[in-house]
Amino acid sequence: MKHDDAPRPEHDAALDDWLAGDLAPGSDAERALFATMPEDDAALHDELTAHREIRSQVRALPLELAPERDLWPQIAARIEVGDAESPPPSGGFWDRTISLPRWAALAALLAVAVGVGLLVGYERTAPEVAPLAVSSPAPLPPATGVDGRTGPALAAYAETDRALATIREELLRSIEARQAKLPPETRAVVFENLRTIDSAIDEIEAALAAAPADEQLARTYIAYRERQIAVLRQANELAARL
Amino acid sequence: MIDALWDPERLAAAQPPEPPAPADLTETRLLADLRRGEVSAFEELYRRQVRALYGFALRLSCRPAEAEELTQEVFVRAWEARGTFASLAHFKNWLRRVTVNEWINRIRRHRPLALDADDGTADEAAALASSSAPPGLRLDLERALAQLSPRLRAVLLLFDLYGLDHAEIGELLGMTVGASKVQLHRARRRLRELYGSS
Repeated sequence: MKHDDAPRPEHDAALDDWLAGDLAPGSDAERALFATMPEDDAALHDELTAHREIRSQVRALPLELAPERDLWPQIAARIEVGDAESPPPSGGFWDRTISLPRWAALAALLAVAVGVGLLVGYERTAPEVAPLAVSSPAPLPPATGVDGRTGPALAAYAETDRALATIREELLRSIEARQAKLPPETRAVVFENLRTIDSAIDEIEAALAAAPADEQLARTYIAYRERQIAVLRQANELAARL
Repeated sequence: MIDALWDPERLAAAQPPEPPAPADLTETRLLADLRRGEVSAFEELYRRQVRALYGFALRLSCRPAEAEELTQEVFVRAWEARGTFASLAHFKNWLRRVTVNEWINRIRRHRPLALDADDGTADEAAALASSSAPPGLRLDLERALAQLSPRLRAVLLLFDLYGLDHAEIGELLGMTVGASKVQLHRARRRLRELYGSS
């Protein structure tokens, strides 16, 4: 088979895949063709060479470029104006100290806020869509120590946290892609709750840094991470239905 | 297509994240401070990320002024979304994703017919090349890239320069995996035509 200048879309597409190392499984014939043809076909050889040359030059382009002026002053001015118009949630309910009753109160508040916010969205939608399937890691095993500072829970904490982080990352990526589908009021509730949960997690992380053996803190931390994932999962399911 | 992300087997098979490098630890701390609303942490993150983000915006738009506007806009939005960043990788991906979205939205608002039309911004491409690269072949390449239609340029750069796969490109640009492959093929063919004639 000789190469000519006539369009060969079936080979062109496969050629791109082959060059990208992305040729579909089962395309052995085309793989063999592309691997051997350049030796017999000067035109294809030239085409492949040019193709690879351009690709390597594109890949050599610098990824980082500096703007000609410092953009920070204008960014700072804009975020200052934005914060003055709608100050972020801080202080007030959360201060520098950690207290478990506040976490409990916040959890109740979140349950109501997220529930109301998402239900408003659910009422507008058709419910017959399969939910997203995201596996959660196994929950922390029960504490066995008398003083609450020993047992398998702390050992499982890091592993559970890693597993949760993987899921959280996937859900966050998805909700970013889907958030435009959410009604504005639902979106506001979702992200407000995520911010609040993040603030709580930051506080608990600070407390854990000071008391790394505190099993209760570890459990509370995981509970908030799970709550965060539940909110993200609900929002994703809702966005998928819209 | 995005539901492919939710394959439970894929999630179960996911490896635990590598322990962060020391530089990442600093940035992780900065990110935690950002979530608490500390402007100084945000400025430091901006300083660390601005070259990558501006470079990304400039590669997409081929217009220095537009790239500056995009960069500003995306960082302002990052501040507004500061409470949602779970990790540094998430923060960086978010910056890139919002940059693409904002760039496409601007084209649709101001130049609705331009997304698939050859861009014809050779002068600005020359300015870009002269400011960012040694003269010679790269200038020709940058000029040819700038003449691609915005959509073709985006697919080609996202795949070849930034290493995204077709599923990720499809998600970013709102097209199927198959369409992304077709666009990549067209982009490469067109780039070779333009590059060959420059």
